[in-house]
Amino acid sequence: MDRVNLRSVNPRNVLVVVAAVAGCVAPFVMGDLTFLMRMLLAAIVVTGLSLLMGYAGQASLGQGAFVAVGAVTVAVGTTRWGLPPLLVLVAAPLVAGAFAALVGVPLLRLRGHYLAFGTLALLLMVQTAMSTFDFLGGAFGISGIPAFGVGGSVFTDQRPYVLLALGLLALVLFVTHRIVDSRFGRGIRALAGSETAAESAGVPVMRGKLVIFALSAMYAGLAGGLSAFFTPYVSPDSFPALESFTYVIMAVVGGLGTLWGGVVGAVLVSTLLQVLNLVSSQPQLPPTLGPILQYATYGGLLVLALLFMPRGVVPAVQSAVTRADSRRGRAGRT
Amino acid sequence: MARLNEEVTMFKSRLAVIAVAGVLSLSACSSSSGTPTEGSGPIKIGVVIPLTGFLSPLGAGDKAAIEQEVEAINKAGGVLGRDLEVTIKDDKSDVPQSVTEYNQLAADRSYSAILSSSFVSASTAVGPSAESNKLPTVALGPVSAFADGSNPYAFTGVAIPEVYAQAMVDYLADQGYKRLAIAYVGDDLYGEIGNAATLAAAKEAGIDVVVDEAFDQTGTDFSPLVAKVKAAAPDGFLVWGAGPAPVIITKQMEGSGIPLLMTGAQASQLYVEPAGAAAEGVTMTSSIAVPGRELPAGPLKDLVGAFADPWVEANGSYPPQFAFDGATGVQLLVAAIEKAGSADREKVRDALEDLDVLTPTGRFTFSSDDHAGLDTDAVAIVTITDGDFKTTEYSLARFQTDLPS
Repeated sequence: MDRVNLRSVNPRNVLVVVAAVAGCVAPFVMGDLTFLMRMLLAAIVVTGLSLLMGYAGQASLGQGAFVAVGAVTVAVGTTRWGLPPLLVLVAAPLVAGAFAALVGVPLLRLRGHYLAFGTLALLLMVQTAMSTFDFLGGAFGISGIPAFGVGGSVFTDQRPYVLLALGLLALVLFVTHRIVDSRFGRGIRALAGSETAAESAGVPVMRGKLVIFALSAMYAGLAGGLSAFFTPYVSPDSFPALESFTYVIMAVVGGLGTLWGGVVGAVLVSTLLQVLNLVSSQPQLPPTLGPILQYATYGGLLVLALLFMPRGVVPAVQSAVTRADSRRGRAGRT
Repeated sequence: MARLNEEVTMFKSRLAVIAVAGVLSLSACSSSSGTPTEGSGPIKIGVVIPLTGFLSPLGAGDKAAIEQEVEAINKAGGVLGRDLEVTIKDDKSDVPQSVTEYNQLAADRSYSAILSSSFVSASTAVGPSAESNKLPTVALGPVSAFADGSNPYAFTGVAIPEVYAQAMVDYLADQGYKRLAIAYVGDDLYGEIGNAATLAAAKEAGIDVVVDEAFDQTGTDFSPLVAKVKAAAPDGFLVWGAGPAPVIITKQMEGSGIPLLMTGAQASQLYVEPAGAAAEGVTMTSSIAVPGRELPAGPLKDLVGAFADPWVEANGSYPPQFAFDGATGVQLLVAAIEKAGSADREKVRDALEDLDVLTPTGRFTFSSDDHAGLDTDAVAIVTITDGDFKTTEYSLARFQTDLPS
C-alpha cells in the first residue's frame, strides 16, 4: 500500500514487542502471580468477546457461561473420569465451542439488547445447572482437580501456569489475526455494518455469526479450562455475572474490533481494579470508605474513558499515532 | 495483499520474540519461588479467613486472636529461636476466593503451614490443594471431611459438627426433651452435616425430630420457617447456621415460648448484641473456653486465662469462640513446629499427626486416622443470661468429672 501506512506500522510494532517483552518479564518480577494469571485469562476471554462484538457486531453479557463450560469440562474430565490434564485442556475449548454452536442456533436469532439479555440468561442457566446437578459439582462445587502436567512433569508452582497462559494468549491473538484478515473475516465485518447488505452481497449471515460466536466461546472455554487447573475448585460461584460484565467493559475500554483491544482492555481494567482494591483495603481508612472509593473511582474512570475515547484505547492511540505520523510525513516532504 | 503479507511476516517475527522469551522463562522457572522453610529467618504461617462478607464476624475474631497470640509468642522468644510471622488473607466469605488465596500462599515455599478459613465450605474446598502442595493445614472451621485423616495434610482445629451435635443431644436427652425442631443452612457443609449428625444422634437418644428445614444463608426473612416451628410446638428449636441468619431467626422467634437452641457459631457477642433481648435464655453448644471463667481451677483454666486476660485488657470484652479457635490454631501449629524441631512442611505434618496437646479449647489428640482431635468433653452447654454466656448446671456438673486436662 502507500508509504504513510507502512510508516504507521512501525511504532505499533515497537509497542507490540514492548508488550511481549513485558509479558515475558512479568512472571519473574511480579509477586502476585494470581493477579497476573487472572489478567491473562481475562485477556483471552476478552479477545474473543472483542471479535464477537467488534467484528460481528453481536453483544454477549454472558461470556462467563462458556468460561464455566470450559472449567467444568476440566473439572469433570479430571476428577470424575480421570482423563489426562492435557487432553481435558484441549477438550475445554472444543466443548465450549460446541456448546455455543448448539445454543447459538436459537440464541443468535435475537439481536442487539435482546441477544445481550439472552446470553446473560444463558449464564444464569449454566450456573443453575451446575448447582443443581451433583455431577457438575452441585452446591459444593468440584474440588480436587489435579495440577496440570504433561507426561511425567507436573506444574508444582504458579509460574508455569502464567507462562502457559501467555503462550495461549499469543496463540489466540495469532488465530484472531488470521481470521480477521481472511475472506471470511471480511464477510463478518460486512455483517456488523448491515446484516441485510451483507446478506444481499452473498455473505452467509447466520453461519458467520454462529462461527464467530463459537470461536469466542472457544477462547472463553480455553481460559476456563486453564483457570480450573490454576484454581482447582469449580462451582457456580466461580463465574459471577459481574465478571461477565467486566469482560464487556474491558472489551469496550480496549477498543472493539481491534486485535489488541482485548489485551489492552484486560490489562488496564484489571490493573485499575487491583490498584483500587489495594488503596481501599488500607487499614487506616474507615471501613465504609473503602468500597465507596473503589466503586466510585471505577465508575468515574469508566465514564471518563468512554467520554473521551468512545472507540476505546487502542483505536484512540492508533489514530493519534497516524495523525502524528502523517504530520511528520508532511513536514519531511516540505 | 502486499500489506497483508507484511503484517503476517511481522506477526511471525513478533511470535518469534515471544517464543524465545518464553523458552528462556521456562528454563529459568525450575527454581521455585520463595526461600525455603529452613534457616534463621522468621517461620512463616499463612492464614486465609473471611475478613469481609457475611462471615466477617468469624474472621474478625480469628484475626485479632492470631495477631495477639503471635505477638505474645514472639515476645517470649519466638519458636525454635525464630520469630513467627503470619500473613493474613481475606477470602471475602467466598469459596473460590478462599481457594485462590490459599493457592497463592501455598505456591510460596517459604510458608511452613496454613490456617485455613473458618468458613467450612471454603476450608473443605482447599483440602485437595493442601494435599497437592504437601502443605500442613489446620482448618479454623469444623471440617468433617478432614476428620478421618484420609487427607494426610489437612487437620481440623475446631470440634466438628458431629461432636457438637452429639453434645447437644446428650444435653437434650438429659433435660428430658422429647420433640425437637431443627433448621439448618442448606447447601452449606456446616449446616448439612450438623443437621445429619443431629438427626442420627436424636434417633439414638429417642428424641423425635418434628421439623427439619433447610434455610438460605443469606435470607433476611424467616417467617415461614418460624410459623412452621411454632405450629409444631416442639420442646426445643435447634438452629445450625452462622452469620446474620440465626440473629434474624432469634428475633422472629421472640416470645414464642419455644426454647431456642444454637451452636458454637453463635458463641460470640456478634450474635448476642444484634439479637438483643431476644437472645436472652437461648441455650447453645460452645467451646469449653467460652465459659472459661466458670471452669474449675486447673491447667485448662490457666490456658484459657493466658489468652483471655490480655484479650479483655485490649478489647474490653471476653473473647468470642472464634477468637479462641484462632488462638488454638496458632498453638497447634507452634506445638507441631516445636515437636518437629523444624519448620519443614513434611516434618511439621508428621509432628501434627502425632500431637497430643492441651489448648484453650480442649485437648487435641491427633493420630493418622483422627485429624479432628477434639471430643464432646471440649463442648460446653451455655445459656445467654444478661447478655453473657453462663454455663448450665448440666455442664458445671460435667466440669467436675469430665474436664480436658
